[in-house]
Amino acid sequence: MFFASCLFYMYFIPVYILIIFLTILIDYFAAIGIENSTSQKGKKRHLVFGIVNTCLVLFIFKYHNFFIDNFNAMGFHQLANWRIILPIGLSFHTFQSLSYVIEVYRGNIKAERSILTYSNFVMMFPQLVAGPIERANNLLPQLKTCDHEITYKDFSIGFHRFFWGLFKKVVVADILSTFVDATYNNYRLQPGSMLLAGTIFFAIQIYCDFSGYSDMAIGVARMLGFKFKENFKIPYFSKDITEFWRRWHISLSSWLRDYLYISFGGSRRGKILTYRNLMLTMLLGGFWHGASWNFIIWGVLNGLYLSFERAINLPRWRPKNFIVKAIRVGYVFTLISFSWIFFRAVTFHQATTIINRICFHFKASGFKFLDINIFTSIVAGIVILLGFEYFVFRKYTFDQLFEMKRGDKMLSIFTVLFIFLIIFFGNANGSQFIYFQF
Amino acid sequence: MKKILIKLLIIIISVIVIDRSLTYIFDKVVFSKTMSGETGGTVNYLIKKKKDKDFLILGSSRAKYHLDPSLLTNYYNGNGYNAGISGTGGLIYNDLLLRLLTSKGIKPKAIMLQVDIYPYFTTDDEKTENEFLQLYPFIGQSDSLRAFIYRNVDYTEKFKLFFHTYRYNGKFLNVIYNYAKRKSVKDNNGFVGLPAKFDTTGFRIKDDLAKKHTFSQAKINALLGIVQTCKANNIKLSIVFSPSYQNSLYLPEGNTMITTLLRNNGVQDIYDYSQLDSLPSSLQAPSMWKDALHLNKEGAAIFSTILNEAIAAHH
Repeated sequence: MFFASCLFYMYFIPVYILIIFLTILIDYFAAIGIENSTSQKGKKRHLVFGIVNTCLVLFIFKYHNFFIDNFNAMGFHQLANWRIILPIGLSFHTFQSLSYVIEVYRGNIKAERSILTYSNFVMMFPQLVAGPIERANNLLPQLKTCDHEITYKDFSIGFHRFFWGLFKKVVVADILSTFVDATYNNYRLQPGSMLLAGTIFFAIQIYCDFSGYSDMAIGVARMLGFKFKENFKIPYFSKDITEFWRRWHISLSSWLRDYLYISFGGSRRGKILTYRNLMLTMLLGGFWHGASWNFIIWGVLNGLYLSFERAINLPRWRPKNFIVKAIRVGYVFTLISFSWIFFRAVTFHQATTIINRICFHFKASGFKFLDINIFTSIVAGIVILLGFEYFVFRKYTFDQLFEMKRGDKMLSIFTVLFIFLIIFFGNANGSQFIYFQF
Repeated sequence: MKKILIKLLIIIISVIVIDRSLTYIFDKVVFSKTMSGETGGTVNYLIKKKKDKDFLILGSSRAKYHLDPSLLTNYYNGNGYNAGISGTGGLIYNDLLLRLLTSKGIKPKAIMLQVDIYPYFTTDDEKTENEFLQLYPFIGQSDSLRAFIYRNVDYTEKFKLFFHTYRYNGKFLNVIYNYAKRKSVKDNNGFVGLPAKFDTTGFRIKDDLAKKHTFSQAKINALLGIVQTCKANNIKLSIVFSPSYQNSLYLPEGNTMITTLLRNNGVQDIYDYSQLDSLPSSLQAPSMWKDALHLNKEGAAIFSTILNEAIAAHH
């Protein structure tokens, strides 16, 4: 497992393996230091050592140039940017390492003494570059069981799940990306109607791109006998933003909740401080995605949505009527899609221009399919996706489907069907996973 | 473990069997009956209905929309078919198309090849794979086409091509659409006259034109491949350089280099209209163009007539 993970990571830039080794060493020794310390002060010192040094690595590679740019923009000395390429998956494995140290400090888990086992926990190749951000209490015990068996059930479920993820990525996300890129890259020339379609398609693209990767990662791990936590639970069927964040990128949102929101005080210190905590948590969540003001705005927007819902107590109103449910789903999709504009746009100016064109230069007659073949494939892909998500995965997990009578056979048939959909409709020159850049 | 291996084996065998059967049925029942569209339909039309033409015009959209065979009366009495294709139509595509046609016994007396220097010769080699894609559905019909494609793609593409259904990747719906409208395809000579006039608002020549001085070896090889195929099959080869609005595609040093290369390889029949100034002033007006790269119907008629007169003078 360790060598496979090293090879997997070194396929990108081999020397960057040293960075991940560095973070492993920092947090491995920090956790042992915490456990060995007899005083609370000593424990805290080791925790701070682990957190600061791990965050320092993240800062150097991810945020250094952002701060330089902003200092320069404020008129300070003209400092030069560093020409460095962000190591893939840096944000993911640093967060995974941080959660381990914090959990050891909180006394929820014991420090891992085997550096090989701990390295496997941080570097495990299916989740190394884009998550899910696994927790030590879930993955470490599985890694310690060296003689674990690859069962037929695990392999089958993992295998079917992998192809479902691949379908989402290459058929839906990659085909959508051709439309999204065409509109967003030429946003000045596009009418609002095209940009609105591009924004809606991006909302679906990013879901299929990221959840597709998660499905593949969870699937590969399961084929090898490891069970990862779920990362997405059909989030666009949520009826409020609070629920959305319980279903979207669950491993990150639960990380933010457990280690930031609760650490800030959560909802225990009155309404105003709760709103502040929500805003701060989401702002940092946005900043985690990338060193850019657009990601910060994206985070702030989501913080505002969550605060607003908490102020009016929206999550408590559970709709029973289908029409009200549909309206609530539409409300979530609209607000989230709006925030995606900042996520997808390269600059703040691009984002505001797109919003301006959607609002004031809509021009419905200017809408074009661009390429009828691509557009039809997009519609077909979305219909298949929605059909499976609504009628199957909303009700059943892969485990439940497998356990059903003739479930294994049905899953095998669907997998073969997905393979042919991938061959016929998949974007053969597809793009990189969006979350690889984080 | 045994059960896992059996399951994998069953799925792999099922996929291969379905793949081969589906491709065979789809090819025979649907694809081979399409007679229009750039996903292979126009090539089918040429192979099935225009194989006895005296000459073929090959090239990009700037061949398809510029050269009307019926007006080229001094060139084999205008008995030709325009097989230019928009979107792709670069030299690699045309080299492969010619290999496909000759391997199927389609050997016209002459080929009129439309060539552009910029951007076709100056784009990066790695982008040339896109030119193979259009002819993937014909891989099974020509050994030389298959051999060429397998020689020039990387291992991931070879893996994808193991699945025969992949030949229709990204084309499936277009093929179905072209199949549905196959009966409405009228007899044609491949030329398409573009309507409308060029709105020059916002037009400017690309800044990078002057910077492109490197030439793709893969495309030079494809050009020489066409020359060799024509020689081997006793097909006369004529070259046409098409004009562009305000010389937006004109790259003189590239013209000189390619013309010299062609002459050194025995191609003497070259009609160079890449410099718009060499044509009558009427063709320089925006009213003769659809966009900066394509003449409209009226412009194409004038250009074809001029070319026809030049052919008469040349011979």
